[in-house]
Amino acid sequence: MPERMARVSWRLLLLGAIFCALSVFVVGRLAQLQILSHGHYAAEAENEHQGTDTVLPPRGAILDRNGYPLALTLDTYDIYISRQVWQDKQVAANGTQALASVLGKTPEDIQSALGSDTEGDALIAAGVSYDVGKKIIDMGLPGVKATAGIQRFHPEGDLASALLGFVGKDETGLSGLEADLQDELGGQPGTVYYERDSMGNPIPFGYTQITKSEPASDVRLTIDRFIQQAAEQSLDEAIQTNDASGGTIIVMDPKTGAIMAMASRPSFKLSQLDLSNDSQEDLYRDRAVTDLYEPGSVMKLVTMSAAVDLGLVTPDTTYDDTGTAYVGGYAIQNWDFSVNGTTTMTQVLQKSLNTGAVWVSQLLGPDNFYQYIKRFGFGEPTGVGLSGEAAGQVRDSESPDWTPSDLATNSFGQGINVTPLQMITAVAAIANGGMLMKPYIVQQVVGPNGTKTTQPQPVRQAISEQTASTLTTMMNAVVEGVPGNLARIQGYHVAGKTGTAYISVPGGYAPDRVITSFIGFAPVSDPRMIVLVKIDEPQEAQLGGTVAAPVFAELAPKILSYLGVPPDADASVQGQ
Amino acid sequence: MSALDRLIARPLPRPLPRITGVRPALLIAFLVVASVGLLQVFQISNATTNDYTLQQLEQEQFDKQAEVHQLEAEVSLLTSIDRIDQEARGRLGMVPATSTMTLEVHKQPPAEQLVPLRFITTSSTAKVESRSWWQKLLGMVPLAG
Repeated sequence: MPERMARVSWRLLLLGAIFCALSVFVVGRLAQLQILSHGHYAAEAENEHQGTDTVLPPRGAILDRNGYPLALTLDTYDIYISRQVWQDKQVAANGTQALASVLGKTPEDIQSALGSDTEGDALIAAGVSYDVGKKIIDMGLPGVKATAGIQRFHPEGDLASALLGFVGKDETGLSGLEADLQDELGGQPGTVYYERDSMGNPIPFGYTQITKSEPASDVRLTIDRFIQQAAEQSLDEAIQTNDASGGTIIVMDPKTGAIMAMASRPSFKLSQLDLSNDSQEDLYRDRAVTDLYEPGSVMKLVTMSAAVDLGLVTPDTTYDDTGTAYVGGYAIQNWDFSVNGTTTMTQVLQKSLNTGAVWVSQLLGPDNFYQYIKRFGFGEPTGVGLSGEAAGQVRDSESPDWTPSDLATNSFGQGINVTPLQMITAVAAIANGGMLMKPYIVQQVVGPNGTKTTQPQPVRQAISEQTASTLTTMMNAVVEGVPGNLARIQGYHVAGKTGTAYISVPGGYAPDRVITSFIGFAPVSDPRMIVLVKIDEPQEAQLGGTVAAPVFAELAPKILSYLGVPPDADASVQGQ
Repeated sequence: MSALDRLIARPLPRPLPRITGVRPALLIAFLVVASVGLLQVFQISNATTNDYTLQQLEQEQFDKQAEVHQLEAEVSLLTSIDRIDQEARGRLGMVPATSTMTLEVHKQPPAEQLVPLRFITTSSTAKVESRSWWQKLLGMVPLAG
């Protein structure tokens, strides 16, 4: 018996070896999967079972200076249908009927939105009101999902479209203040980590980790909705009356730099926004800060301010107007080809004489002239905080291609490019005792951490108070010293200046294309508002005095009355 | 004698049986484990109920927030310039002014609150301090210093 046990069959040994080898292989494989690759598969499992959602806080409101909302957020739902679930014809039929009645669509609309695909989710309705969305959720229709979203709502309609801007589908600002103030209006998104099932749905009472979102802030602007609407209406009427291509109106408080209205045309309408239409892209920018133009005779105010400030001239200083000034080989004539003889500086502004401006610029010299151009803020952005703001173009005496004729033409506002906002900011310094103020449009940001208020910011004393007072008197003489001036308004003393500039084209200037403008402030004794009216390429009439000045005369009384500014007791001039 | 024998022979009361052995220990252990298990079940059930209530309340809060936004939008629409213009012309029969007369009236205008309170900045809203009863009582007692 022991001899039999000692002889073990080789077949048995082989079988045992194979079994051992397989066992080692299985154990090794298990060790590789569960120990060595543990991290990889754990991450895959987590990825499979963990879902992440971004939680956006309600977007902040944009308000006017009095707290009236210009842009609000409404909660909405986007309704999706799972094509996979709706492959069941009965489910699809019931769902179609139910959704059609709630959404106010036809069953055919629902079916066509599904498309021909058999996978994925189909968007049936976007931006559905919260109540309707809740109703659909409560109906519990198979395969129907509702995703929460927001929609921007503008109670004042298309008011200040270019200024406010719009948001995209991801609730991020894309243009205007919605984009410039994205950090304030958008808050900080939060996240939700949750366990999900194989269909991607959250597992009830499963593991959930929430990072709360930071609430957004409301932004209160310096814009007044009434003044903004009045400005937009006046601008639209002026463009239509004069068959113009566009224009800008800006209303500002000269003492603080607060912008009360900013209207530009052409522009887009918030109620008819179509982001898929590329031709509308040109309309999204705020032309008051992005577009450059040659200001024309309004620039004579800067030229005269510089000369008065340096004591080179007074309002009664005279020169001999022969109708033509020769500079650098060029002959410069008055806009009306007039010859006025002995003319005072006040009359230079009243009659808007190019030869007078050239004479003053020769007194100043290029160094002084361009120093004052910079002191009034030209050649650099105002810092208003709106994206796309242009710095303007000033070719001074240090530029390689500058010539003496540039000094002459710049003195009456040609050959120099500015933005409308730069122009009104500069003239506002005259109304503000010579102090140049930084324009601003955001008055307050009201957030969860408190309220931040913008304080008026003086930039520099561009001219002395005395000079500012002298120029104000001269500007008043422009409006009230010239019979039939269309900028006069009943009950108030106004200071102002017209401007008419040819539009530059390659090789020179277009003889029949002009930009007309008028800048005025009132009351002269204590300016409460300054208005710039700029009308581009009017066809019916082509002078600042006949196109832009009447717009000021129509708009200014409304603004002064609205602001509760009492009339000047001694203002006896009659409005036109 | 036989009565005395009977008296003497009456057996003593049998003592109570002592609890010993495996079965009783198992019973006690089972009771302990069951209690622990029940406690855990109770806690989980409680947590689940609270979680469900919390979810309901969060949803309710979300619904209320959406309702507030909707109401804010409605108020804003009712106070919009276009609507005021429509009401003035349509319902009240007003027309744009053709001439302006200025009168000085020395009286404070009425307080306006035409916008949702949320949009009135804190600086313009009067803060009302509310003191508890014990703070008011303490205020009546003259304190040294």
